[in-house]
Amino acid sequence: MVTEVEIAVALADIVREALANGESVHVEGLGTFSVQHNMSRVDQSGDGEIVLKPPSDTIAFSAE
Amino acid sequence: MSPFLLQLAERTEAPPEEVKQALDRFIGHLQGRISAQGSAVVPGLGTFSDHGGHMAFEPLPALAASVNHRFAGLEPVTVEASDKAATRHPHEPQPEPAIANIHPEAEEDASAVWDQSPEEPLYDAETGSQEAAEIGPWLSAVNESLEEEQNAFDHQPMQSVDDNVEPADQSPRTEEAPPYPEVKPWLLHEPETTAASNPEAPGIRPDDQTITTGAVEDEALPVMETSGSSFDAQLRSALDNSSWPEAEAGDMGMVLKAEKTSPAEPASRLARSRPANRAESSPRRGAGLVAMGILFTVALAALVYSFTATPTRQSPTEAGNVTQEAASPRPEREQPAPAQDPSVAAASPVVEEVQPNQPEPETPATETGGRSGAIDPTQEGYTLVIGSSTTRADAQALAETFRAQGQETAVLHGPFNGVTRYRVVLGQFATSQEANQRKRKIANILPEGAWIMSISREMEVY
Repeated sequence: MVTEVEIAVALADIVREALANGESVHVEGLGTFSVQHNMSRVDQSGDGEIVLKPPSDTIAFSAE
Repeated sequence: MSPFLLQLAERTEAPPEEVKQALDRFIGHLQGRISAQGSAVVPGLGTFSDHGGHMAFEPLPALAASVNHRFAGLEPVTVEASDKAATRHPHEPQPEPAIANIHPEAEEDASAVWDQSPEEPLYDAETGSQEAAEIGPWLSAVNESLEEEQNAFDHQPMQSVDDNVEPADQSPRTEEAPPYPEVKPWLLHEPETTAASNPEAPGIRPDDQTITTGAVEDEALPVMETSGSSFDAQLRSALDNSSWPEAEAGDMGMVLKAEKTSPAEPASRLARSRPANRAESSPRRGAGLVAMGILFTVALAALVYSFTATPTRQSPTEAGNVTQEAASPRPEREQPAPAQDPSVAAASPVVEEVQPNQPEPETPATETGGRSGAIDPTQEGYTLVIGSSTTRADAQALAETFRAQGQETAVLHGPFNGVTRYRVVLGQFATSQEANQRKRKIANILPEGAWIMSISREMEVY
């Protein structure tokens, strides 16, 4: 008999490994985890300073 | 059966149907916790919360860092300070750096020299002080000798003829250096004005005839035979041997005087008192020609120098030194007579002085130039990251691709948040602004994800 704790641990491992490889994971009944790439961009702060922000990969989640 | 359930069944070593039931119970329990408490934490994954009727997810920092391993360690870079950016749109192209230290007059005057310092003029053509400093002593010495000789012979004081000096010779002079064509009474010897205005002048009779040379035939002018002192003969010989064109009395606009002297006066006195003599008028003519020739020489030297020194940006000190030397052709000044070809004589010292000033390299000092992969982590600074890989082979292959396009690339290796990565970088810049300018210039060949990274000493270069 599989417990909820074992399911939670296995679910976290699978999602983490998939996201680390840039892959998306769809969990039925919960939602989809994916990696979103953000390009570098230029932002201007309130005091007029222009800052170049580096690109990044972030985790996106969309609930069902 | 979805792939996720199959993976979950494989991990738990349980039948997929049983895993499906356990998963549904887990999700129901999670949603109940979120509804009751607003949020629920899944160990190793993150926090689920209710966000306006929708479930939101906030990953754990460790999970977010592992996902963002490609860009680990990158920080925002200030590419423009607030004072400069206040008046410019963020996406407005930055202006190209202008050529600095160009004196405004240098662009207008082709004969001017780059970076000429206004405090150190090349040559003051108005005063001719430098030229006078060269020629003045020689003329002064000659004239003083002549004055002494004449005063010894004739004790009568000499009449001033400053009013008869040509306008070209009356240009403002500096007090430090004597005026170049140091006009002396003997050289001009035009006493007619003095005689006309002062009939009682000693040695000149009121009935002297005043003749304007332009209206008199040359035959009417008494030609002097050199019979004066030895110094007169020596000077005239030197002047006659020169290449100066023979002065025409009419050209000088001089009012010459056929002076009637008493038979008792010595022959030398008579000789010096007759300005119609061509040999005597030639020094004045020659002095003017020397002045014009020197001015022409200086102008030509400056023009030649401007052409030869244009590609080279010299510091004001260097330019001033070169020009000062070029504007003073001392070999010419040592001889009383001007050079046969002043242009050649003036140009040669310019070339000799310009040659040591080699053009400066155009490569920016802050950017690693020349060889590929030349990035020194000890110098720190900034670089453009154009790729990242977990394997060295892939990174080096990408570096070679850009290197084939003439770009200076290298592979930086280092631990980034515990993850070993090989980053392909391009160039090394002292400031982030320079890196951003380079990024804009070559944006057409850079990948979209290129970014600016600060170089750390811990990085290693492959």
